[in-house]
Amino acid sequence: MNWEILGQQLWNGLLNGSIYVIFAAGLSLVFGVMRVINMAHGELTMLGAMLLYTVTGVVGLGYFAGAVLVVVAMALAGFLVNRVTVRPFLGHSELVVILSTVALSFILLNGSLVVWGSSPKGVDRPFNEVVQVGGVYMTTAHLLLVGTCFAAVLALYLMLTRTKLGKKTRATGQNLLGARLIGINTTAVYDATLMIASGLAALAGVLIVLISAASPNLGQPLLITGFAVVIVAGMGNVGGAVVVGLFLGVTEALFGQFVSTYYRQGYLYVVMIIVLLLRPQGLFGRR
Amino acid sequence: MRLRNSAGFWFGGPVLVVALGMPVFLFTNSYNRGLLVLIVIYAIGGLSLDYIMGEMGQFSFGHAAFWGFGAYVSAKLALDLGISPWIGFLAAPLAAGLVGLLIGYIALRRTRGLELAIVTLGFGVLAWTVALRWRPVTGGPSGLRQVPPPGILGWELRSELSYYYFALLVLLVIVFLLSRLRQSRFGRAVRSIHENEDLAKSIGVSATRYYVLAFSFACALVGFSGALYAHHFRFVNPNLLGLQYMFIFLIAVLVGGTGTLWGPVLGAALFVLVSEWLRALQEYRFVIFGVVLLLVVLFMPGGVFPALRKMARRVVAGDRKLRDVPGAIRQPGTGGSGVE
Repeated sequence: MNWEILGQQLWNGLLNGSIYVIFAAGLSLVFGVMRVINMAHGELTMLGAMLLYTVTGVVGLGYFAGAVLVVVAMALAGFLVNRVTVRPFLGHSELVVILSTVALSFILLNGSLVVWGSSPKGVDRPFNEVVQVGGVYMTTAHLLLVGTCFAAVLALYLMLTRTKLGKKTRATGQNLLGARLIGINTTAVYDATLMIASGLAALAGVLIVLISAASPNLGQPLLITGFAVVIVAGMGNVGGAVVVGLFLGVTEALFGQFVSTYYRQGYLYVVMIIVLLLRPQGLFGRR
Repeated sequence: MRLRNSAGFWFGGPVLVVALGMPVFLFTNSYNRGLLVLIVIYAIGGLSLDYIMGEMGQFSFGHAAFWGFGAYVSAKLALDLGISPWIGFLAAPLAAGLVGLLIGYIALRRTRGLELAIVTLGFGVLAWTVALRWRPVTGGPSGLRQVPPPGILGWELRSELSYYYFALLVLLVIVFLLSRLRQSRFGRAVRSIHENEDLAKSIGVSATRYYVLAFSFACALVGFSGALYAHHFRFVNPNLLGLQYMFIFLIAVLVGGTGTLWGPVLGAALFVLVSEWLRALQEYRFVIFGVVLLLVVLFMPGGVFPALRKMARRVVAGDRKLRDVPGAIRQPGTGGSGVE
């Protein structure tokens, strides 16, 4: 066994896994709190990446200023996502909300294709010094990605467990009517939930450009991967999504290296099917 | 009850005339006639998804996988073994139904509602990956080409016109059978589980068994629709199993109206025609399509067909009110005769 290749693949897997974690955490949060499957989540990430390309490449902001601007703007846009495509449809069947978010993803994806065209766009990365740790090569941009991911997960965890908003959010997710009865403004909680999720999606987008190019077509594959993570973890379980996202990212890279590069894409789905067969509610799901 | 039947009749009759006349008067070139074929194929797919959504009250997000699977089965039989497409039209639903039985058994034992949607999405994505990667069997990303059209007595259904009338006939038979199935013992059992699963179980309806069978039936139906697609457009590729077609069926069902039988047919027609009309907008096409979709869902959350039916009923009921008013001027033979 070549330990350096193993280490390198573990690291590469950690990079992908970090993206999966941030992406799936937002997807799972929205489902857990609002019982909404947000089919536009992937397009929100795509929009984050493309907006970062515009504010850095065209407007000329630096990476950090651009990233903060994009994430904040997308978090604010999450309010609109709720008010335009989710809230008006909540009184009807759960499927109607799926359709309205599908409509939103149509608009975002095809609007982005009109604005940016379909070719991938490179974004200037802030620092690309190569660091070698025990035979594993990594760039400082990669360290930034993993560090930001852990910081974001920690912040989300603290927000959900230690703040008043977090308590309200969890209460709303557990029992909507009960939350309303004790005076929680569930409309505001829904707004906040989609704002956080939209901000997380955009964060995944601005981090993706550290390891690959920005492209209007990156949303849908990511959405599918995100669903795989969420299914394996258990629907609506944010903590589970974090663990499973990292696990799947790392084992996927190892699978690609040591088993088959060709079927690498299928690996996630095979894991997902095995989990579905044995525990349809997911590894961390309760039933 | 009588009102519902007659409404179906008053809707179905003129629509049938329009559907028969379409390719003769309006859709005269082969491209446009191809659109008509597409409407019928999507309508069958929509009807089958609506069996899951409207009758079972459940949701399959992997429905396009069964559609694509049916298409591959029939295409493969015809291409590799030289088996007639007519047998393919039977084999495809059979194969899709059997796979649906297996997956339904796995998924429906434990999961319902939105969880089921995500679980079936998982199976659908796996099927798509297999179609993409299993090159020796599925032909990989480019799929299979030169799928033969069906023929009768040496005459091949190659033209859009002949295939359209054939598919339309099949659609009518399917709508008729579905309306019978809904009223059968099986259909009523499925509906009772939809209404209240615990209550249905308590009176001895085996919920999981009926649901698995109903799911498998819907998969068979959509597999058949896939075979229709394969032998008309004469190719299959992995995209057929993907989200794109899933969205089309979903749009057909929800825009048309769930649980209404004619709704998905209307929805399929609206989808094909509207996206075709929007073609003039070029790259803005699907942006506007998304906006239209959002507006339709916003203003007609129950679907277009129920909204139309409500409007028609209001007109009919208005007539009756007029007749019931003492001294109202009644002219024999006008208005409202379709009700009783």
